[in-house]
Amino acid sequence: MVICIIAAVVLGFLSIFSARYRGYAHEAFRCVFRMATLRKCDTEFDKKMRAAIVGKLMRWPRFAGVVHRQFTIISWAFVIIFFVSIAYTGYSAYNLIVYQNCEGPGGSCVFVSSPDTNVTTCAYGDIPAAAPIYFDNNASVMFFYRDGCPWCAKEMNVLAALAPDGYKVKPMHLDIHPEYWVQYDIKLTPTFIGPDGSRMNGYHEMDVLQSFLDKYK
Amino acid sequence: MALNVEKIRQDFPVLVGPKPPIYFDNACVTMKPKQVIAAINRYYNEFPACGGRSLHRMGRMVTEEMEKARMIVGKFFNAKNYKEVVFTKNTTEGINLVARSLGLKAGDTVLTTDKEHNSNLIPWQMLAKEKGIKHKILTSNPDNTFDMKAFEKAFDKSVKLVAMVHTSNLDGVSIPVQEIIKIAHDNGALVLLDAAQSAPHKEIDVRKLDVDFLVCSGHKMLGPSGTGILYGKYHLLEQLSPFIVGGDTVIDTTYTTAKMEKPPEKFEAGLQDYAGIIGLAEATRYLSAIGLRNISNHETELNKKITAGLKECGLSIIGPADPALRSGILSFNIAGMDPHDIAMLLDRSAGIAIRSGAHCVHSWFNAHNMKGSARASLYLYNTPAECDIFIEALTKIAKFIR
Repeated sequence: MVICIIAAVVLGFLSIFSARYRGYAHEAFRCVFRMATLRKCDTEFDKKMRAAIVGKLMRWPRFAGVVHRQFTIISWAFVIIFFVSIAYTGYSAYNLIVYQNCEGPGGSCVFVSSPDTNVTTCAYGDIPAAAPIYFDNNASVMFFYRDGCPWCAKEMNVLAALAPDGYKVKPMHLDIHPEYWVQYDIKLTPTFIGPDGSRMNGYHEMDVLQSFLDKYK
Repeated sequence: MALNVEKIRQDFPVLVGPKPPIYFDNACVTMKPKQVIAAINRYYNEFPACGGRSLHRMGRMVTEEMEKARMIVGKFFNAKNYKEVVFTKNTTEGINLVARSLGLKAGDTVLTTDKEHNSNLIPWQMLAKEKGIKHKILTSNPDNTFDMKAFEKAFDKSVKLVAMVHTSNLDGVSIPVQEIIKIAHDNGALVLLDAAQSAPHKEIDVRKLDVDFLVCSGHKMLGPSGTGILYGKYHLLEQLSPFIVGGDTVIDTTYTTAKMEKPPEKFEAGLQDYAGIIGLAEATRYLSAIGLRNISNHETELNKKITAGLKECGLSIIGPADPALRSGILSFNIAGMDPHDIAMLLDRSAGIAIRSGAHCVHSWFNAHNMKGSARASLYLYNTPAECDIFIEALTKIAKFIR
């Protein structure tokens, strides 16, 4: 009976695309409906599922016997795991939309688009430990970055290449100052904010970054 | 004579291959030999036309093949006249045809057993409601065998028809049909035999039995689904009013009248399933060539084997303990297990197909307060090796799963 809850969701979705699952989905929905109205499931859908699973396990008959007898408990465990994972997926999706980051503010994973491959990935990177020469607390352009962000590290290589020409940025380390996320409405790293409030989000190659910094030099 | 099962299996495309199914659901539907499939295809490939109407070459071929099919089927049952064979859709249609056409009146009694398939139960219930006939049900002995004394006592002048299942699909038990027919006739009643489970498995000689009507299905005897046979003594068929009327059942019509054909055509309304009927005739020819007695002996031997092999499993067998009395059927329950679970587990774990549930004999299960049973039903292509796999798989299920 319990397994019908998962089946109704999964098979309901699959049956949109394939008639093969519609019969099962109908049985599962009927079972859930009867459960919800405090009646016994009469489709025997759970039995079919149990037989399908236990049948595959008959190579290990003792184990199959345990699964057969404890099927309701096992089903509940799966239902709980299923809904917990759905909740986490939803939470991550929310973070992704709001913070461009599946872990929320201060998370160590940032979704970045590689300019080389155009593929968006959740990436981690290392920031150089020593204070770089392109950091200047009096610079007019703020550079928001954080540890574990590969595109921040890559952008720093570009900044290092521009530093001999006098290009400097004000370091805004989000791990040290997590309040910056909200204060400056940071959605992703790296982010540059000019003195006039104009922004440049994400990683950029040298020519693009140089033109942005030139405006405030 | 022992069957050469390995040779027989080569005739069944579904049973040839690296991992053929172990098919023990033959009481429901049987597999089809390539000879039957070829006969069906021959109609579609060579003469896919109208029979009994069109005069062109292909039309004549269909008519001839249909006549030939009727003769082969008539011979299969040793009918006096091949015109005594009416082609139907299945056993159910045959029983309904007799029930609706026999002209039973209010007060007439129909005797049945307590193990009838719904097909031989509901038509009489309906007639009882609609026309006021009496439907008397005879209870079997405790071991599910036929209670002859109760049968003899059941007769009075109102009994007009004895409609009984020859071999029960519930437990494989056959009724002493020769004796039953004699007693019925002595008491002035006709006999309709539901031979759906007997015609595919044992020799039936309608003349020797002196049975009045006999019905069976093609799909249970290696033939195509959607085909069936009604045998009836010709003079009785002549007296029956037609069941379904329309095309090919009449010689002539006016706007207000119709002159009916003679049997069997008057019962075969509309365009017939020519391919299926030709296939059905081929199936009966195939069975005759192998020999029904050989098939029956083979099934009984296999049933003895599985009954003995499962002795220690704690099965509760429906019907007599002696497998020789249950032909090729083993209907059983395992305490604490749902029959559907048993069937599904056998299928999923060992690829064995059996039936579970009430087998369309709900009335018997309800009367015995049982949900249903698991049923293994054997046929000519089943092997002792398959029985060993069945015994092993069921033993495991009985030991570890319940």
